[in-house]
Amino acid sequence: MNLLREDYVCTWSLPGELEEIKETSQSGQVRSVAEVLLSKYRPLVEIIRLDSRGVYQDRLSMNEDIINRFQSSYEPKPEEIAFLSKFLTAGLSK
Amino acid sequence: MKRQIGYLIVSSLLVGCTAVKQVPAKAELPEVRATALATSQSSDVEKLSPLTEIELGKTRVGVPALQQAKVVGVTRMEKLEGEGFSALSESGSLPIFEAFAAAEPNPSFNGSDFQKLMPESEVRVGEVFQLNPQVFETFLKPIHPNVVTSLDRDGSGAYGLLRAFNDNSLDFIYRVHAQFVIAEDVIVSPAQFDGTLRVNRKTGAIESFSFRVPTTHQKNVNFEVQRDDFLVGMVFVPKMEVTSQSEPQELTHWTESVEVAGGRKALAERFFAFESIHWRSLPEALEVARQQKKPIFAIVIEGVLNDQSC
Repeated sequence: MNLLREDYVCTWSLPGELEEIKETSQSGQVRSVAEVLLSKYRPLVEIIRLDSRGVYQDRLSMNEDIINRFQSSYEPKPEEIAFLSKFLTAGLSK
Repeated sequence: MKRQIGYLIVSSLLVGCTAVKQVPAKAELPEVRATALATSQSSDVEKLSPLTEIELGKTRVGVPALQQAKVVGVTRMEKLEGEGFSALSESGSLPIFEAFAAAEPNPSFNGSDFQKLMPESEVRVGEVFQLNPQVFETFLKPIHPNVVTSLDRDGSGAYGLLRAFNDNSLDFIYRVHAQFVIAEDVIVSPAQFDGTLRVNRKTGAIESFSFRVPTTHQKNVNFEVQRDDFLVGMVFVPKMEVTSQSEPQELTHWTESVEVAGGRKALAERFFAFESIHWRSLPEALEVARQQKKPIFAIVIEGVLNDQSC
């Protein structure tokens, strides 16, 4: 979590809220990024990495890519944390 | 199939909650001390892991014995609404939700009900104290008598925080998670109840109170129909609250205080460790990322990340 707190800027949105941002934001960049996030979103949960300019880098769907690794809804195992950490660390090297 | 989707929603969002769960190092943040559970079950003072970054007040403030006089409140509730109900179209369960309305429009409480919301010992402004969630059931029964605070999922709990004080008043805020069993095997789970309580320090009178479901997001209620098939969905309730008859007087002169938003975040962190991350709106995240030259971690999620509506 320290990786997220210190090395990333974090945000989360509902798809419907992104739709609203896409339609109403006065900033072209914000509208554009909202559109990208929506286009990359696969229900029910999508983790998306953007660079510092808001350009899409990578994504992990909680259903397809991660759910099979996290079989329980309890505290994840060290190897599962390592899997997510690898995804996050990869974003820092770009 | 719907049962599978229902479990998938719950498990995937819980995975989302737990995947990054990790208590930060103690050196990073100030210690926050919790007082004893306001229940006969335990009188031990409980120390909670330090999470919050809000600045604690300097003064330890005692809590007065509250007046035992009857306090009459108001229950306001509007209909649940939203596309989430489409899952029910063939199930015949929709009328159950349409009939879900405030059970008691003008409930009355007494001082002993409110006394259970007080910390058992002196607290500083910004200090989080843990409460037995069951003490809130009294205040939520006017919405529906079958209220439970022992949830059928992760997330049970109730916490309070002294937000502000001056010579005359104490201002508390609360967060509690609760569910309503509105029919057999039909459960409604609001996102959370945000509470407020203003008491008179000198007389122990209840000046105002409120327990309401926030409407910040487009979805703030989860429902489950655990019948032949397992149906689950997320919808919106424009208003679900139990409050005092009058709003609290706007006070600007506090001896010590923390902002409501900071206090609410401190309470949220008790339920979700990942709340110690600074989550920003998308426009703000883009601005900060550009300034600090940091990548962006974005979650797009079908239900709200940090409450019980998912």
